[in-house]
Amino acid sequence: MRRTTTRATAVVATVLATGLLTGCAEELPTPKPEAPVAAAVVTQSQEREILDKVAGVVGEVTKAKDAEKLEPRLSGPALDIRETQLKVADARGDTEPLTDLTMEMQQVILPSDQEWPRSSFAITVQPKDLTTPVLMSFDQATARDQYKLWGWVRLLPGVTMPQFAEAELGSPAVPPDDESLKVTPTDAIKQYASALTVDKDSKYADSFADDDLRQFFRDYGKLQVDAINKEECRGAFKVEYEPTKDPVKAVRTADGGALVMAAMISQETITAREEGCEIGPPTKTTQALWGDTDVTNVVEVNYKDMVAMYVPPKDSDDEISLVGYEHVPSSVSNG
Amino acid sequence: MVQRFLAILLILAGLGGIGFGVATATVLRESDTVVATATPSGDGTMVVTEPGVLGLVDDQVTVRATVPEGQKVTLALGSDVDVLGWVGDDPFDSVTGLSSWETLSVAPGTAAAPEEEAAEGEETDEAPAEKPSTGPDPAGSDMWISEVSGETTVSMRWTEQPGRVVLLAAGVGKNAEAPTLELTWPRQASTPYLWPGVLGGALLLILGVFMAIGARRSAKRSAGKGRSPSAVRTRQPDPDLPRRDAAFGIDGEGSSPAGHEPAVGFPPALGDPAEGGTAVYPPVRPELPGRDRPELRPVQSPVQSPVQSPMPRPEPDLTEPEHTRSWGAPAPFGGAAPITPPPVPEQAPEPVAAPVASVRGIRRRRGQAPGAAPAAGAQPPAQRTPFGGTAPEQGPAPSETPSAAQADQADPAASAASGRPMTRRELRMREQAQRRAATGAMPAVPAAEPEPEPEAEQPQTPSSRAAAWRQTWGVTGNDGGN
Repeated sequence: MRRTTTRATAVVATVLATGLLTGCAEELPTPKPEAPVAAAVVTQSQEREILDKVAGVVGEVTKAKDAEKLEPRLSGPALDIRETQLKVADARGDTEPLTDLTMEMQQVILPSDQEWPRSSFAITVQPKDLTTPVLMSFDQATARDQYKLWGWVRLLPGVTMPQFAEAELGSPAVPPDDESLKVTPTDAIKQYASALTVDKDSKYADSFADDDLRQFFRDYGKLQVDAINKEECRGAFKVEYEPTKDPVKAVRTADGGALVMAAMISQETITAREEGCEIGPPTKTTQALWGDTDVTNVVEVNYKDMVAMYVPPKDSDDEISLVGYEHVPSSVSNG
Repeated sequence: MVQRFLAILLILAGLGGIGFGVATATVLRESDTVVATATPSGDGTMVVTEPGVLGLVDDQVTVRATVPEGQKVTLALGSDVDVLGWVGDDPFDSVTGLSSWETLSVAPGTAAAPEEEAAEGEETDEAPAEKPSTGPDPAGSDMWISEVSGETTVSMRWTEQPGRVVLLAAGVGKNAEAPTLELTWPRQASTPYLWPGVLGGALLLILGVFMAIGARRSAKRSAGKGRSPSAVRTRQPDPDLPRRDAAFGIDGEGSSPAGHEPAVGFPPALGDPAEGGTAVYPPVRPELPGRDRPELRPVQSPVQSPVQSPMPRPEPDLTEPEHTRSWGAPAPFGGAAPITPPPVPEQAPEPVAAPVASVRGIRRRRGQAPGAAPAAGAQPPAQRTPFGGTAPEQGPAPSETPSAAQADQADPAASAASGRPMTRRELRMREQAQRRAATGAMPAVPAAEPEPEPEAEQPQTPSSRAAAWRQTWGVTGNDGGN
């Protein structure tokens, strides 16, 4: 009797003890965050959404021709240039001046820096109008700002873009005064403005590989001068470039160089120096902008420009080379 | 009485155990979700979770943020860098983890590392960055992986993904307050009490039922008798000797049919002490042999009645002796064992299950005693001997020992059944008990003989061992009952 009672008690005790112990075993979990990893601060899917939003705004504005609506998604030079293009397009009555900003990208260059401002870059696929692809730059000024289209250039035909880090890893931004490059991004733009303005006479000319833009001005200037000289009016052509106060954007390339993008303004002046000669605006766009202005012997065309160039690292033998530009006439005057 | 009381206790405990086990899996079952709430400290309008908090309990989390009626609230998910960058220098609360299963720990947030840059931007964007009278709205930022805005209460689901994703909850607008956060995770609600409760309860229940049956049997016999077996025992210090004799008498019966003689001779001896406890014996003893010699009964009953006449109830005495013998006997048996030859081998199994063995011993002896069916009767001893040897010698095969024990239990039962005529009820009970003891393996094992292999698995389960134990109890009760 006694034994069995003891046994029964033991059984009951065991059962209860087992139950209670298993029941109380669960502990409060503690957060186990993943270690921070080096990665782009913008994921590709986020970038895609950003692109869609920006492209949506651009597309709507293009249709509605309401430039004010650009502001939420365009900033800096891009906003300025697009507004100009819209104005010009309005004056011309067609859409030819509008750069195709369809944002179907063949490559994205995402930021890896956690600080703001953050910049990302993207290269579009070849547009339908068979113009060259466009290199766009997006900017997030502060954490509470949205990514906005900050600038773009049309790539030069046949240009080879430098290599960038994998999009997942992100590419670090290069400060405007970065010393690891052949010249700092800011200086590169200044020197290039000089090279554009005086071409071979610039003391910086040797730093830059010859490029399509400079060749264009040579050809274009010659064309204008020849046209005026045909009338024996002693034509002259001059172009002046000057960086704007907008910051220079630069992103590190895989080889330690940088892709530098900056806004500039330029003015081309065509003059018929012979007394009594009068010249009018040369192109369809400038004609549209010209309007009723009296014709004189001078035509001044103001442009808004954007250039992108590759600046090699300091110890490189390569030259600084232009990869793309945008050259948008904004106003015309008779001097 | 004690037996019945214990039986009721066991049944109640068993039912309680089953009920509790089932209840923990149903009514009392822990909810399938963990719901933890974070109450903001009051500074600022924003609450940010630390990396890892969203996936604290499960990858799936449902977030609910509540602000005072009518105010706007926004929930946004983003990387910790983005969220802290967005929050910038504004005061905020940081959810650091669970402080209990219902509460999230909240601490004043510390500004993010890139605060300077962010601060610059904020100063131009939002002048009142230090004391935001207006809660800034994070809605619509390109940085958010997911976001939702609404009035008073908003909720969103999130499946944790690689990366350091954190939640930003912000009260928005004038006089905004930081929202109260509620994170809900699904959880595998474990039911740790279910099976222990049900199985343990069932065990106790069955145990109790068997005891109750045993108690009832004995109660029927002793209906109306006020004395409890224990009372009998305690009263027997003096008649100890006669009683032991009685026990021996049984043994004698078991070992040799000649043993009947002293048994028959007992009544006078019992009559001497004139105590109820001793007087009990005669009826029983005659009973066992009674089958063999029914004529004894009439002889004894007259003897009994005079003895019992002083006692108010004559009948109980009939059962009581059995009681004393069946339950009380084991104790004396321990001492008696060396005297009688059969108990010697039987003591070997005792270490295996001491309390059981002693009880079993009675049965075996009894089974042997009748020897009505020589073949059947021969078997149990044959087996017992090997068993007796098996337990101590076959140390290397521990699994066999319990199996042998089981077979052993089955054997005495079988032998008893075959050896002595039993009532149908008794037979049925035994069969049941046997079946229960053997449980699932029964069909696989046609006879109780081939113990080693098929039954080897069973003994390992505590229930089978317990069943064996139970069986022993039940059988004993039956024995005594008859």
